[in-house]
Amino acid sequence: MDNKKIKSILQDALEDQMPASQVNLLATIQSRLVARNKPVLQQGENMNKIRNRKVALSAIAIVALLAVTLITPQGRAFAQSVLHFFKRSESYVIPLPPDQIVSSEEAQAIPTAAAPAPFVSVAEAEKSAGFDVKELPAVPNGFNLLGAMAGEGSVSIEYEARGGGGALIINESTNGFMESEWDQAPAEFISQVMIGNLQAEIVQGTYVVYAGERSAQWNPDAPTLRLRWIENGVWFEMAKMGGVESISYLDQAGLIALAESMR
Amino acid sequence: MEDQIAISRIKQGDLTGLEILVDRYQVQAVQAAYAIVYDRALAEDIAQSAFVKVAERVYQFDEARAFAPWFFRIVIHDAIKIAKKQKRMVSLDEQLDEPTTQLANWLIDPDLRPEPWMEQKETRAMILTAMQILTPDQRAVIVMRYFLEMSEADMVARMDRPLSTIKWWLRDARSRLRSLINRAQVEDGS
Repeated sequence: MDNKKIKSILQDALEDQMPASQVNLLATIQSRLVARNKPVLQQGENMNKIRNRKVALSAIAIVALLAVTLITPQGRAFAQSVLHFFKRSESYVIPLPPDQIVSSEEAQAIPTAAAPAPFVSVAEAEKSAGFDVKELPAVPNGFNLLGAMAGEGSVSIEYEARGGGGALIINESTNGFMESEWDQAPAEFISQVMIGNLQAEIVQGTYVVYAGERSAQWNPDAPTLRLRWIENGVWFEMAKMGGVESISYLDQAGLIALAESMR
Repeated sequence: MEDQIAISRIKQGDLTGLEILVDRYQVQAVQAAYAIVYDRALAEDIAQSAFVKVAERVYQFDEARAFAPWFFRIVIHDAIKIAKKQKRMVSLDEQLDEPTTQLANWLIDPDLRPEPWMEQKETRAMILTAMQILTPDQRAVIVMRYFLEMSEADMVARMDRPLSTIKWWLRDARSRLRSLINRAQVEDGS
């Protein structure tokens, strides 16, 4: 079945619903143009003036924005976060404080962490958090939706890979990004990307602690992919963890496409 | 060439140029919009507005480029915007009847040969019902790809989205249809 055939059937279906013989828009278009009372040519001639005014106003707005941004501490923090969504770590190694060093035996004996707060629906989480939460239009292939959790000014939506072994977590917050040493990444593993028209950063890899080690090592091959961006005053982080087969298709481009599909 | 002449006329304030474009593209514009918003009056309104915008923004148009992709970008963009406000997607709980399911199956996998009856008039319209399962963005991608026959490169430019996103929407459209069909079959016990 080629595209021509699909076009033909779609065309026939649409022709049944909206017959070409019944489409006659010209009179309405002309009356709409007349109603606007703006001759097309005159608009064109006025465009240069309008464009010049827009350029001047934009320049003033940019200067004002820069001034506000650089003067206030919040503005400086915001500017920094816009330029860098991930903090750059200076080393591939994070020394661990003595109380965090775990022996091989202890590592095996450590029980699973206590269950987190129960999941709620995204709508409930949105209500608790008090801001408009963006969602994916559908559950991504290979995942099941676990639900959402709300904090003060933040919401996380969590998906689990079918069969376990992986997760997709979307954090949305009005309080900024989670910033611990563990959230940092060496600069060379951070890539600048675009989500639609928005600047974003993506990181492959994470710091990993092996039992008995006295430090955490940066592992660029760890199956962890984190994407960060800011939109309308909300800080977004989308993280894919795990490399099981059902979600292995979700690479950097796929994660960016998912972020772009959020509504 | 005819489009370029029409554009030149509009730029000179001669609206007979607009008549040429309306005559040439109005049917496709209305039908493309209809496949996204599923409302005759809205589809006509979207197409009319697009032509009005053409007249008002014609000074932005580079005559060296093709008119149709620029024009349909306006139509598709406005149709998506309106469809998103409508939120008129088929409910996940709504079952598809058998003919619609088969059409949806064909839509998600065009390599399948359609049954002969699928090309009959009374069943062709069901393809539009099947498309209602999709999000407005996904419907738009199908309209652009199959109805307007845009290339992937054109679609990228029209939607202001990277190729990965367009491919993702198509892939996701197919998987949404597939999961709904599976669900309908499970509920039917078939």
